[in-house]
Amino acid sequence: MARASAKTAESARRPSAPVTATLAWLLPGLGHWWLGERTRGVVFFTIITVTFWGGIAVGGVRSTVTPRENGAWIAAQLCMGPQALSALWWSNQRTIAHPTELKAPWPASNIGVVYAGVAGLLNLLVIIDVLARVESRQMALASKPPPQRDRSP
Amino acid sequence: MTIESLQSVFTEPVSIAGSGRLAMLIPLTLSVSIVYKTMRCERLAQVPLASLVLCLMILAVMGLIGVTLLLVFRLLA
Repeated sequence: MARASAKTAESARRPSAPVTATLAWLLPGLGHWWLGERTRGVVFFTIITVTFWGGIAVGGVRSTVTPRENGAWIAAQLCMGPQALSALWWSNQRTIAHPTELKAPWPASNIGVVYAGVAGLLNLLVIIDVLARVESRQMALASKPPPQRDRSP
Repeated sequence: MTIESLQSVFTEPVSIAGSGRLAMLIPLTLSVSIVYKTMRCERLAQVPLASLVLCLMILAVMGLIGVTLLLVFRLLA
């Protein structure tokens, strides 16, 4: 019983890299929040989300998040996780519902695509950073000496 | 603010002309600087100043590269 509770406490202290990376992809900064670095997580969430949706506001959702025209930029944008997926779905819906809608003129279209793409790449950087933090914590835990057993009679 | 007007913020593109194109570089550089420095700085109190310095450095270097390329273009023209 005591061993099981000690094991649970150990796994709670030891963060899992796949879980943390997935959380960071789902919502920018959530991985850092999960690790207990809450202010850092809030800063990442605010800055990256504002940059992504700022880009969409500049270029319009239809011109900014479109796999047909923006090539490799869509891969960068998809690093934003569900926010990018929802923007992509919205863009497709608008293309179907309003086929004659005017698209963004140059350079607004390009600026919007770059903003959203850079936001995705920043989130990729944040995911890499959170993985590095998980690894350093795991190494710190592994290098700790095992707890002394109570040898009293 | 109704849902339609909120929606139109993200569906209707903004027209940008002249120096507005260059001005759009500033918020992007600032966000890159803040995210980078938030990762690098151990103490979060250091982030505002460090990211401002990095942002100005990026803008200065990019401006320098732009001016150099313009001069090369003029010389070769």
